[in-house]
Amino acid sequence: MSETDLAVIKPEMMKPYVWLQTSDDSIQQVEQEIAMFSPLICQEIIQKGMGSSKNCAICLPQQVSPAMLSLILDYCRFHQVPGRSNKERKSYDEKFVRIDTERLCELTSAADSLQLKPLVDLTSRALARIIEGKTPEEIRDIFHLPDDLTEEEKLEPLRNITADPRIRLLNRLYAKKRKELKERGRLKNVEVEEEHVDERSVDDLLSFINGNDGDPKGVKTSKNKKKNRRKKEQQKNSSLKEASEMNKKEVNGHDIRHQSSEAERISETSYLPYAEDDTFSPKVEFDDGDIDDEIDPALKEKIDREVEDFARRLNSDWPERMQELLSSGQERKTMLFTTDGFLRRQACMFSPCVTVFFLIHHMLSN
Amino acid sequence: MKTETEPNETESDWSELTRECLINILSRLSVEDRWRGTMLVCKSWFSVFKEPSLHFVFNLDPQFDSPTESTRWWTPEFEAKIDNMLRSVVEWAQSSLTHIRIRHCSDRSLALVAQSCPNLEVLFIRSCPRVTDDSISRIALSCPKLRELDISYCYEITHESLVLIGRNCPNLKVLKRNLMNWLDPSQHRGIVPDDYLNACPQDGDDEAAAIANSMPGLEQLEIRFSKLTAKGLNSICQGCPNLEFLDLSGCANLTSRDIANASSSLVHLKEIKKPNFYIPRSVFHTERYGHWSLYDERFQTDIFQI
Repeated sequence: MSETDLAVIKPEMMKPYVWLQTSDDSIQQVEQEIAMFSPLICQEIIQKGMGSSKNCAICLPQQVSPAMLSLILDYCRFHQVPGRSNKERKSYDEKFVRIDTERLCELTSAADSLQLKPLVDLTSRALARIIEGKTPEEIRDIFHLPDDLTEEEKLEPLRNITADPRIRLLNRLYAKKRKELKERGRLKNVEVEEEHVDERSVDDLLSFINGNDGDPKGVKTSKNKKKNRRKKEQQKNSSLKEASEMNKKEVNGHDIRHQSSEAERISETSYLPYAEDDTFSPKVEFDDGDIDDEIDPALKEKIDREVEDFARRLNSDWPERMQELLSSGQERKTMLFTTDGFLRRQACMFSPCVTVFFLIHHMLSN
Repeated sequence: MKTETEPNETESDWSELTRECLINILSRLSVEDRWRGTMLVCKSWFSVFKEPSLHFVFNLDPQFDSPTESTRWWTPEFEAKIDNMLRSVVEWAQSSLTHIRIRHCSDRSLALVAQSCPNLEVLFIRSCPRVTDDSISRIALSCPKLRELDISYCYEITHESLVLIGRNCPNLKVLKRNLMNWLDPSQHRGIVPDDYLNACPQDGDDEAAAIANSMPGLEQLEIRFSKLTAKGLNSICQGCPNLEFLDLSGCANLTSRDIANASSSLVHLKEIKKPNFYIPRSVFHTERYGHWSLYDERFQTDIFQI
């Protein structure tokens, strides 16, 4: 044997080996370079000096059987060779995981226990592909798993049941309150419907608009609107108050927020099982009293002035607006008389004089 | 001699993957596969399913991305289901949730998101008819790390919320505030409730002002079918100088000239989608405008040269 031959063989011959003991107590001799692919083995060799002889073999975790170890070593040997292209590696990996599900699971567990992250990722990807699109029954069949989930447990994430008895009690209380509010609302609606029957003729309405006859009814209506607006504003929660305050400073525009009623807000809160206790404390007393009953005289005077000012503006604007409105009237009218809640924000986009005009237009067309 | 149960016991040993392995496997599955398959397999898998590391991202968008929209999605029952799913995920995530991409949720679940997800970075809540300023203001105050927000087709959210979001979320880079096609709502008819379809927000310029005044760092803005005018667009272009992408598709109140004038100040702009309307001349009588140049200025776009 020539010196050159020896030079080639020598590193191979002198290659260090480590001794590994698998789960069935059998001991194998493995090239150190390949064995050290596993951080677990690497740690045993460097820190504890294990594996140098058969007597102090490195004990591998329970999940690593001899068959799995040989598979893992094959994988490491292939990937240890330098100069392989990514295409070659990918092709090898694809073939490597083309094994039955049982062995694939064992391989995943073994690779995981040896902390071989690239191999764990590879086998996990393969297992995920097997699971993809399968029903729970099919998955149970493949992995031999028990069907030990109760129907309640299966529905839990979709029903989001809370075990807290206080919340259940509060939900019941709020349901009661909502019922009461609905009843009151119904009674109020009946009263409102009775009140809103307008006995005036079209001529009366026209003369009021033209400013000939100062019928107080129109004034009353706008005053009530102001009352309602204040009532709503008082019910806004604190975060929205902050929002609107900030908005007034920076954004010039009309507030067209769709206000939800207190009942709606309570019903929403009652669905929140994880909210803190103070969420459930009723923020508004449910009394029927009008907020504006004991109104400050100075404020009342101010409102009256605003109403008069509005009436004056309405009368002065009327002739110029008439022409403009006639051209676009038909389209807007249909929108205005839609009674759905969602259109509240649209209704407030129209100026009051437009509203009055359409009311007349509507009456005439009927 | 082995009993009948013994083979099953030995058989089931191989499938007892460690918790870490199962988490690794489940993390590679889609939301649909997790919720319809693995979650319902057995107790041990269900407990792994609740692992917080599996719930950094909650993305239901692929489930909604079918070409045909379902009427069922707009029902309160469906909304309640989505709410409960989101609330379950929020509970399991234990404040690690960073991305939420869902539709048809309501204030009920978003209030919990605001309460429990301080690290939220992406919130996409398209088509949520019952999401209001109430929950969005809570999100604004509780989720300062927000980078992307999609509140398209959420008609109960107003410019007030946009101001709060802008003020409290300095990292916001992407805002999507698209409206439904109100010019030709036929694609939504019969699916989206009519009252909701007709409730399209009218305050385009107010929203534009809110965006301009409170979101100076914005890089992507989508406001399809917004009713903003040239005034609103000007304020956006001045208030958001870093815009790289601007989608104005369907903004019927804008002309080519308005867009050109306003966007000239945006030095970083890479792409702008213009309202590509083409109204044939035959539809109008020439007397309508008196002369063609005025007509051209009003309706001509860069895409369809008349």
